[in-house]
Amino acid sequence: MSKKPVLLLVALATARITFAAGAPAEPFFDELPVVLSASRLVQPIADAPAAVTVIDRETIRASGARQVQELFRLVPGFVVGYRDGHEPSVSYQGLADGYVRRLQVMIDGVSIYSPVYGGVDWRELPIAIDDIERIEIVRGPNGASFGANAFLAMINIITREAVGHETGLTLNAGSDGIADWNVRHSGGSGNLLYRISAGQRADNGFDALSDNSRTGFMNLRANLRLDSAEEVAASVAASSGSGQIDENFVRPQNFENYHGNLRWTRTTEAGSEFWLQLHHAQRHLTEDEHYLTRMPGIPGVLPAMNLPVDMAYKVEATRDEFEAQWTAGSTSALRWLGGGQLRQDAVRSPGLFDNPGWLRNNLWRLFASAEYRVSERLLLHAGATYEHPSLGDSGLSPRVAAIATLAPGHSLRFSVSRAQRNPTPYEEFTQHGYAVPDALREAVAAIPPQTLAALPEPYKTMIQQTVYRQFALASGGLASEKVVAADIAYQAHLPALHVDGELRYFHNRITGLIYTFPISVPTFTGLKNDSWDFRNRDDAHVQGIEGNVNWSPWTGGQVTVAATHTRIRSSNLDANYAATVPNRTASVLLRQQLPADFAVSAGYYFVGPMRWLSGGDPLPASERFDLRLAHTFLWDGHRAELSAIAQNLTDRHYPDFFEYLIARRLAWLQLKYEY
Amino acid sequence: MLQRLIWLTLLLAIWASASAGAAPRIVVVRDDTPVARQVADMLGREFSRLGWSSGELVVGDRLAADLRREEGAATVALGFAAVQATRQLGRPTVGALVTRAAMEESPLPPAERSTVIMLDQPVERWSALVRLAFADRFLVGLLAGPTLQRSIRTLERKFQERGLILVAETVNSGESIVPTLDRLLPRTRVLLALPDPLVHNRGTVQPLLLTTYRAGIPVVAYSEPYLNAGATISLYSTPKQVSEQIVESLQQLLDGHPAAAVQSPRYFTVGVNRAVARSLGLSLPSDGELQERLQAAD
Repeated sequence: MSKKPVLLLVALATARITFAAGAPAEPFFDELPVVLSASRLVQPIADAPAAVTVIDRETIRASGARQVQELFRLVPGFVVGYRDGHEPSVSYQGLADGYVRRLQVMIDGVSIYSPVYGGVDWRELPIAIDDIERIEIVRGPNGASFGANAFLAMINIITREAVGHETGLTLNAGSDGIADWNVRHSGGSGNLLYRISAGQRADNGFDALSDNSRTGFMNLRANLRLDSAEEVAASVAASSGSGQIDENFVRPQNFENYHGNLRWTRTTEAGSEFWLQLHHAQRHLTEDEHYLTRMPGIPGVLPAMNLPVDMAYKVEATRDEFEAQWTAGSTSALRWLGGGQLRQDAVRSPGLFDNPGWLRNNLWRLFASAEYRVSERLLLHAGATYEHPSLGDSGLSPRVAAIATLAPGHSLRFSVSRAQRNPTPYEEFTQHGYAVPDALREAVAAIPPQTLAALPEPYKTMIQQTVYRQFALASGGLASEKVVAADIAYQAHLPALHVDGELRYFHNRITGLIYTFPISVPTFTGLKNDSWDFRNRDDAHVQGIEGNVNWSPWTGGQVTVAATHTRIRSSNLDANYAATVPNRTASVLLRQQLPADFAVSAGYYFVGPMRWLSGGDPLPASERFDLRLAHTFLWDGHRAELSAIAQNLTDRHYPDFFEYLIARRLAWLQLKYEY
Repeated sequence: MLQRLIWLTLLLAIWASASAGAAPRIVVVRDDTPVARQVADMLGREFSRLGWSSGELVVGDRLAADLRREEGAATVALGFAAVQATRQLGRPTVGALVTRAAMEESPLPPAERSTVIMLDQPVERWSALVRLAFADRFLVGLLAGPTLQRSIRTLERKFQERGLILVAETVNSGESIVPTLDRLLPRTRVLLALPDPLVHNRGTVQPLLLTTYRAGIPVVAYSEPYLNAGATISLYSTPKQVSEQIVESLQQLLDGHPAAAVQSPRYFTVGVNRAVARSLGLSLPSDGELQERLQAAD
């Protein structure tokens, strides 16, 4: 009788001690944060309503690419050219000049399309190639999802998440003054994870030009988990650098870029997700143009003079965006998302726009898309964006697509979509030129009035001009370019055979193409016809076939082949759009793991004859071979990789963009260390 | 006089035991946690449906006194602290909501007419699930923290019996999870997440799921929250299923039949995160089909 209470007390005492320190039953029921929410999940390519190519980290490594733009050579239909060593042009299906503005380019879903010229300055990307998790490319219009300017294609560069406890270092050194370094680190634990990366890339560009460049960059992102359903992600990035421009004469160009992003996400247990995002970006570009131009003079009236031209040419741009998106949970056969975006761009450049103030370019858009799985064999998509830009037209960009599974692993996709490309501030407002220099104005003022009155034409008119040189003079009033695209594609996904492939036929009809055409402007030196204006004038039909295959025939080996055949027909023969797309392009990437921790990869790239718009020379077909040999080893217990990379291994001299820009072999060593 | 008293006592005893058999009183002793409260509520409803009377006590300072006052025919203990507190009561006791880790750390003294239902699913069920869900994935990775390190050999052997190779890496701190995964994932095709508080907790789940997702490796996990977080498949017993097993075990004990000292969960749910599975390019059988086949394999 007296034993029981003692036993109970002992039991209780033990129970309380265990309560404090023991393993709780809670692991089985403990609330956990929703990590793989809708926005973090990648949609499988076979289910996408458009032609998608994904470049993953393994492919980035095997390609031997040193800079992001080089990767697009692997994507069917893409051509990468260089106006000079640090100004690449990445284009899809032609119709491109040095400022490719018919492609939308984003980093983590935020547009880095230039607020001034459109297009992307690839040199300014504030990320290292090792910061990239994967790149998603939509080959074809994607206006329905991302609105303006996802016109011919869309590129989304997705950067690596912060997972903590990773540090890496990459060094490149080689020919042509190649000197790059990058250090990255991810840390934090529990509710706060962060990742920081910083580095520099430099090279000397083409032999024929003084176009060396150096860019320094950093990016930092942090994820703060507020509770199991809410997360805040912030990121800051900056890049700055200098490069030499060698066009008519050599001059330095400096730039600075800042990006900031803040996103608040809330997920529900049912898998729905809602996020709000704020973005701010700032860009500052200066080009010091000082040169002497020779003014021939007027016999007996005005002596010939060497005039100093001082164009401290500065461009500033800011972008502010607010975006909200709601993605509904996907438990049923219907998945949908919707949202809106407000964007305010402002650009200022007295040199480009003959206006000391800020020019504003605002846009708002609403978007929604839905995916409905009718049955195991049929998936339907519908989506649209309605946008209201201040330059160009308001309009709806819809898309419908159907994906039918013919047999397991074999599907057929059919899609039709519409997209638009809005005019850029440069196309709408540019007044790029310079006035008669002071020295000349004073000289003209010194001429006696009777002499002036007695001047014969054309000198009489010329001498009254205040404009000395006009590069471009936009008449404005531009409408958006429009495209209606249709495609049909067969996709195979056969894991048993280790084969993935796609064969696609597309037909796009483009209207309202903004044509850059020469105009005559009266200047001091005469009626010159080397100014440019922009008008919506042209149409084009683009048709072709694209194919790609990915095959892993044996362990450690992989073959990736992409090829296209494209044709552009346009009634506007003077524009010669047909020549802007190579009739054929092809790329092959072979990868093989070798014994003793070696790996080799080889690339082959073929681009048919083509010409870049706005002054590019007709270029013959070009072929190029790349080779990469890598060895991984342990250094101080951590993983290191040393690789030797050669681009254009056989040193084929082919012209790039202009006849005189000859590409040649580049080779460098890369050391990567990760722990 | 004494003889009459003895007969009376005997009659009373018979009557008492007869009434106990007819409408037993169950004392539910539970830990002070939300899930224990949830199961206690479910049990309460089930008991009244069966016509049994029940009372609920929460582990705390007053438990000993309350237990002395309660005269039940049987006890249900929900949570490890409750199981320990009711261990030597001498009445039929069914314990539940207890983890294998807790029992290994603080072994329970033997007790008659006592059974404990663990939360951990039996190893054979895990290996059967991996086999059924992933026909062509034989390499199964496992991160073993201190809790699981003792069991690695047993796990390897049991998995081998089903033709699967378990590749285990030990983890001794939260910081080493990502580097360990970077080493482990290239050698595996599926990652098995078994309960181990050092490895799987609110702080580590994000880096773990992001790293495995990046590598294209599906995670097979042990709870419903983990499924919502991003595991591809989860195998778990819901509070309802646990309470079903508790009631069955109680009936078994009250009927005088013996019960195993420790039981595995009898009823379970297989959940599939379709969004994650689709994104990883996996075609998995439907939830219902997986569940049926796993039940059949048991």
